[in-house]
Amino acid sequence: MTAMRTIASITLRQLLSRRRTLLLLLLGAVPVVLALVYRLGGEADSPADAVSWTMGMLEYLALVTVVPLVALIFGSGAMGAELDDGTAVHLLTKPVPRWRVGVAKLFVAAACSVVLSATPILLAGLIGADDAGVAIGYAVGGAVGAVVYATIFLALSLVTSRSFVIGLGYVLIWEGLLAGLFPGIATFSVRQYAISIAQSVTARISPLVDELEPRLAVGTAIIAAVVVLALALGIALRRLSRLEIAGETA
Amino acid sequence: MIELTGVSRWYGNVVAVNEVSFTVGAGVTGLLGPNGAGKSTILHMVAGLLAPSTGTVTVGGQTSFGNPPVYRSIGLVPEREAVYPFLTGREFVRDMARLHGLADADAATTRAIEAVDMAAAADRAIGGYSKGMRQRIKIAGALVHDPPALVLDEPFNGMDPRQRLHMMTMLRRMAAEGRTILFSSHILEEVERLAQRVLVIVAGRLAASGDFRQIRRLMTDRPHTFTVRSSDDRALGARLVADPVVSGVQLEDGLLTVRAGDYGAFSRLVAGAARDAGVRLYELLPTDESLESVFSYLVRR
Repeated sequence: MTAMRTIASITLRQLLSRRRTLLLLLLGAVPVVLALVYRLGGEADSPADAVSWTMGMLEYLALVTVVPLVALIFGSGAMGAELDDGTAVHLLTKPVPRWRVGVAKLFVAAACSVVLSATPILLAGLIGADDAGVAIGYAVGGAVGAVVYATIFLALSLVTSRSFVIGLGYVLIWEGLLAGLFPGIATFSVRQYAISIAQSVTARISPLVDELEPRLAVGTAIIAAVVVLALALGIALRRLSRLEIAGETA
Repeated sequence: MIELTGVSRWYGNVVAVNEVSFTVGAGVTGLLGPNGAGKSTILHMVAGLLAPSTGTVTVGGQTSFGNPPVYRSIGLVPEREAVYPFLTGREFVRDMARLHGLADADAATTRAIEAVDMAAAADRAIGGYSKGMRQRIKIAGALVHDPPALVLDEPFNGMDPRQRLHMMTMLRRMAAEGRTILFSSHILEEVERLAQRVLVIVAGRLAASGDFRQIRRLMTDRPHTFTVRSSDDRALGARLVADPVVSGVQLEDGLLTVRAGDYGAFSRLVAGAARDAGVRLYELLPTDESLESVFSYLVRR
């Protein structure tokens, strides 16, 4: 346990560098500011109006944009940065099974992603919709998305050294474009899991929102999210246990 | 303590290490070879960061790769100087102690920091350290669990002469305490001053191993080639070839080339020979003194 706590604390200090944190706070501020502008501008004609505007805004801006980008930065950086600069050697030459190193890293990456993406969603939801149900529902959806994305990107960083670029391409093209255009691939889109869970939780706890019909049934979304998470975690830990670190490049 | 048996390692089609076997016990052993010879690959295999393609690598009888418990008996000081810049030296060493699960991490940390003489700077962030300080704090991190074997990859790179001397004293002291110390270097003099035993690696093969003096003799006894410019090359050549130290003389395109078996004896001979022959010496150049050529000579033997 001490070992995993130590790895987690090093990773946390590494991930939360001042510049990176500031950048991600700015990214998270976008939906919050938008919600403020919407409210202060008196755009909302009725509470129901405000709720539906906020849900749409959170879906596209938060779940489709902020959540994957935040998770990309933390997920691909948690292990990838240390492998790039060579500091990973300090962790890997210790009597600590490698899966523990991986799990500790993932825990921190996922926790950072959740905090830095769900908090702005919560704020933007409260401000924009003036409804705790919307805020909590979308924060939960965003948190689930953040955890699944972070695991995918951590695994990706152990498969390729260009995980950031490839991850960005995946976020923009697959999740951003294709998963929105083709309903058929919803089962394979983390974005749709997050949306489905967000809408379902919102409908359940908000008096202002009726049962919605997300593209992906919430049961399917949960199962698919768990399967993708387990798969990505399995790939990450397997790669890590076989990872080699070469000295001089031959 | 450290044992390699028939170890080869290749990357794709490139063979980095070729059928290397050796055993290293207590004391300081130097792994000597030109850059790119496979020293790092060997040390990374010893430290369990690379799997051998064939053969076995063990430390204290335990397989290195994929066997984390082996790190209780080994400390690695990697060549890359990267250490977490946001930690202080003390935090870094203490974190390493915690990763080893030491019962009294704080006491071990203090001890390791004192062993590398870093107590004064231990509470500053590593980001502000000099290269030598970074190297020392890395060694403290590798030593904190008091391992019987210490593996250092090019530990003297980027150090100034004073730091180098300090480090050598430290490594000697650790060896005197009964540790097994294996370090790599591409600089002959470093190895000569520190190591009791030498393993020479050239192009992935173990070219020679044994006592340093023996290897030094092999290296100095090989034929040396010099080019000479003088006021009368022909007369000087004739005078030189008469001496038993000189094994051959060649005069071609106005350039006198002399081959000699013994570097020291030839350098003492040449000035007197020129005077005797009444020839003025302009230039005397050893042509083939790169470490690579020394190494390739050892390989051909």
